[in-house]
Amino acid sequence: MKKDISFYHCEELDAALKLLAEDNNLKPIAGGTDLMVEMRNDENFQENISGLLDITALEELQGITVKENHINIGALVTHQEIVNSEVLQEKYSALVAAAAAIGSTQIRNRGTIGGNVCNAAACADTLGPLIAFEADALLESYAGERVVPAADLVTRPYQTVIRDDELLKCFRLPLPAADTFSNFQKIGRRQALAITRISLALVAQIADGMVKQVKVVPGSTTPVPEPFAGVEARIRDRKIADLKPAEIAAAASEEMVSITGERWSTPYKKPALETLVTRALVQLKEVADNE
Amino acid sequence: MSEIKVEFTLNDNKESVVVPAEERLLDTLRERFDLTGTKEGCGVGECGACTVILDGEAVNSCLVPTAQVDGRQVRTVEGLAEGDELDPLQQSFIDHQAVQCGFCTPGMLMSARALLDKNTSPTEEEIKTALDGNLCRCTGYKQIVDAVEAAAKKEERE
Repeated sequence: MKKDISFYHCEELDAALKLLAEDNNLKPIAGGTDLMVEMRNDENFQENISGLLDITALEELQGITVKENHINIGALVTHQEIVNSEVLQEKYSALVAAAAAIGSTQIRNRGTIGGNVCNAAACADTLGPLIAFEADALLESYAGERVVPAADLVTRPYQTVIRDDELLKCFRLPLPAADTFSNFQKIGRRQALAITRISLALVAQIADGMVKQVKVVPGSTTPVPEPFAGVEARIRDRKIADLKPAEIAAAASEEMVSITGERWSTPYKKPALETLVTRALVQLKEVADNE
Repeated sequence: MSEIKVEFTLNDNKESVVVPAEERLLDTLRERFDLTGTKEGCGVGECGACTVILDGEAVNSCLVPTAQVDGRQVRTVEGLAEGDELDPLQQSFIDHQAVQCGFCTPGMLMSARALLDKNTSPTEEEIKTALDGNLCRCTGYKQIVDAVEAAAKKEERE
């Protein structure tokens, strides 16, 4: 017989934060696409929590809102809402591509960007693009708000800096410069319902045939997605026509090994990452050629 | 015992039920309402056999805590036919022999229904995307996609 747990449904953010402040064993639940699986697979899950806190009605965590210099994506925004959003399609296509590649229609209808990041699987698809777009996460507790760069949110697989008394409210993405190219690549076992084996987010700001700024964030290659600074240095301030995808790709797999060391999966991940980097750069060159 | 009272609309009927916090919508439908058309396949959101329509969207009922559907609308495969008259999708599945063992069929129908309720003339690609969370291990997908396409055309004509 499993332990009884309570269920709270809050309409007001303050009320939810107060509950979390009083009881740090409450588990927030939104779309439930990870949590319900965990509850089923982990016999002790219910032993370790006091209850579920349904946050789906919290308005402050909902919706995509365009501000003067940035866009807010609420933690409760589903992957399907990201896919359907015209403004995100136009300005953050790598994030839209990542959301479109997640799970299945049913999962995209329920799963949220907040949950994807808070669950913090190494293969979480949306975190790489969020880091590449230099998003900040707004965290709120009963005591107040704090801002953490998306790049610093996850500390190791399934572990974030978000405290038990905090909720992830939204992501704040700076508006990209006019000529920004963004691209997301993913390898899964099959097209639908595939856990990412390896992914890549590339965001480049282009001007006069040159790459001005660039972020390259591979996913599922390092314990936590992080920008590959060495790769970026080989792309930044270079003429796009002069970029050599194969060389940059080789540098990317070397940078990966410098972070992870040689692991059992390295012989697979090296050529896989190289392929994704090459694909993204070839697309960058095509876009630049057409301008 | 912490139990949660949930009031929701199930196939156009107002229903009320008391459930533990962790109870899955799938179990509530099958065990408390005897709506056994909704199937449990994998139980982890990968096969789509348990698909129902929640507020117009196809969802895996194995991943929805019943406590979350308070005030919401749930439609199951039992809610498709009107009396003796089958939903055009159901008839089309029969006409196109899109059913073999039948275990995946309720989930397929609900995913397809959710699509056609929003998009009356989907492309083949849109149909495949709508069904990307539904696995079939015997019929093969061609007849299923054909059945949805034909039903969409029929509904559009009517």
